[in-house]
Amino acid sequence: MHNTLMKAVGTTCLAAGLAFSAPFPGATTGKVQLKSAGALAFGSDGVLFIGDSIGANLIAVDTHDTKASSKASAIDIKGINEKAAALLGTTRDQILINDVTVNPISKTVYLSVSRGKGPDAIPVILKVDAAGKLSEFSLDNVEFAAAGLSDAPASKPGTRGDPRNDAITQIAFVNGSVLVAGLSNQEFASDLRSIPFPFKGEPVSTGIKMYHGSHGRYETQSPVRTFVPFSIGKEQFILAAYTCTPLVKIPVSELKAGAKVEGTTIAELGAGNRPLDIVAYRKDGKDYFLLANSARGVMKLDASNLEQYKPIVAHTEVAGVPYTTLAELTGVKHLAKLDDSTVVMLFDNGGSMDLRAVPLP
Amino acid sequence: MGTVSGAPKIAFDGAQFRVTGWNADSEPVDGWSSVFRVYAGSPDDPPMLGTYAVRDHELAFRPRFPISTGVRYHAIFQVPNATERIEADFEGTPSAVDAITRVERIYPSIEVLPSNALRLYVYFSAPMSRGEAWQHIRLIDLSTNRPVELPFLELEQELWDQNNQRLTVLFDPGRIKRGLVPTTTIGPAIVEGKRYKLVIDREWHDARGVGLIEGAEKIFRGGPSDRIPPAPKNWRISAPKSGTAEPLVIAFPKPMDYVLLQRMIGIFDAQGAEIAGKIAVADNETRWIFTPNEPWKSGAYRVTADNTLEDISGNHLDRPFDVDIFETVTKHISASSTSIKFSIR
Repeated sequence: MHNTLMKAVGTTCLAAGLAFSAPFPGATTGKVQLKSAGALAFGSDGVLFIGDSIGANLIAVDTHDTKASSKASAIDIKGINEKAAALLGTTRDQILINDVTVNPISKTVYLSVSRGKGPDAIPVILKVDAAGKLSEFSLDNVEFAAAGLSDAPASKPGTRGDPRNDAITQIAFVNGSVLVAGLSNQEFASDLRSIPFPFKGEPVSTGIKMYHGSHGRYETQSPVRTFVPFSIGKEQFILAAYTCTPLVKIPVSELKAGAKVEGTTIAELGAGNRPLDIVAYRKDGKDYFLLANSARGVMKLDASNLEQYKPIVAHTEVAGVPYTTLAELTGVKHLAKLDDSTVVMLFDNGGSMDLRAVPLP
Repeated sequence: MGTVSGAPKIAFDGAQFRVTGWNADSEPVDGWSSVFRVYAGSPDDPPMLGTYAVRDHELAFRPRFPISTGVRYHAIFQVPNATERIEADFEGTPSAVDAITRVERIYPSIEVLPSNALRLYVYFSAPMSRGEAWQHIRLIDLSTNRPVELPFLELEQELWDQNNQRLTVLFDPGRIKRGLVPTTTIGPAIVEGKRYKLVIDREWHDARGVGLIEGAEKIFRGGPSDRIPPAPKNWRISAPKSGTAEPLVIAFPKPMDYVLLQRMIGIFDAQGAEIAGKIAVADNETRWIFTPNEPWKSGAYRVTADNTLEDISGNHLDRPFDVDIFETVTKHISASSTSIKFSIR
């Protein structure tokens, strides 16, 4: 009893001492044992989330990058993969840039990178400061927490064999939870999980199945490729892009354990195409989405009046939202909103990659 | 800062870069990097990350990451308070050149794939490089000799196993599904009755950065789609005799997913303890062969299969791959596994 009290007092003092830079509950200090660095997203207060597909973990790191900046500087880095290779002591062909995100407070750009392509590849987080300088964000001594994503119950028969791996295709921080879209390399499990942050004890992942009407009347198992949070009035939604290429609006309030969510297909962007990345923004009082595609370039979608779309539960022709294709933007692999008027884009010019800030169209 | 103690030179010992012939004393105001830098790229690019140390007056730079193959390192030492500048080039570890890796196996093994086949597994004999799969794997329609457009789910995060030796290739489920709006979609990748060739290029790099010994092909025909969940009641169990370590064989009426067969079926005794043994899969993934480590004892046993075990079209034991939500005929089994009892005599 006495001990507990002393401990509690001690902890309080310590917490008070660190209050200015206090990390989130459950954080430990040390080296993050990342096996891969994939999807990235920022939470509040400079917390960076890193999807580690190979390690089957979601990592939250306190970046302490909390000096506010309302406007980003003009980023224009030619050959960013060559510069990353130089910094990390390897050749360009051994660098994979897996994701790009922006700290909404400082406007610093963060990149998840794989140094090497084999099983011994080293995951690295790089950042680009306001002056356009590329540096490493070292995970050797940081305050962090991890939530396990491997969910194969031990009671299943035959837990031998090589473990299943989930590729994390996208993460985002919405309403106090991290939404994780992923896909397994073994049994077909494509799901959207909602993990409350701060991570509490054993992480509870909720598999969410959903269906959408444009595929007729069949429940979809098609995986979410990319998604973005957005709000209409006070209600929070995500807009999810599927392969081949329906866009589906999903209310975040319905993403609960075991729920079957009715998404609303708001556009069908055509076959032979893969959605790569998406951002939501507001310009001149109107809402838009910007979607990068594998085959159909970058599209600007009008997000006005989305609240008028009702879930489609019967086979129907889709009345899509209007969109325009921005022909001048080619080879865009990733998008991240930089500030209220700019988006940072990762361009692939036949092997050489550029990171460039572009005004929101 | 330091003094010249001979002719300054830069040496590389395979792990770190050292300045010899110059006695390092105190670190310059702008750090050791202001006098000694090592570049892995062009001098216009940032210098390599790493740490500096001085030992016995010798300045050394240790790169943060391992020395890489195929890199030419360029080291520059600006002798402090002098115009003299020492530069030297070093090669990283030599690049591998000999091709040693090949495609070992491709699953499903069968030569007729349902038009809604869900996935392929490609096994390589050694670890491979990530990030190249979609450049080096394609499906040719043999009726036209042209590639099928986007047959696979081209995930940027390629689905490898832990050792980068097995790639999971999913046929795009967005194409396989029924009820797609025909004007905006291109239909399933595999059409019943047509012949196809899966092609894997020799140029695909292994983890050492070298191509394969040879490319690989698998020719198959499109068969009817299969939307019927595998029914364990139709599995035939051949139980061996007690006292022997003969294999137990389960015969399936149709091919099952090769990888899931390795871990989703188990044999349990009457007390619920799992029997240890080795699993083999044969006859186009229609046979599961279990050889126990110890001889069988007579008694009651059960085979238990996880209900998420799939056939090659992704149908689970308890539900087909795609569920018609407006028909109520779909049976959902609430349990997570299905058991079949048998005896050893």
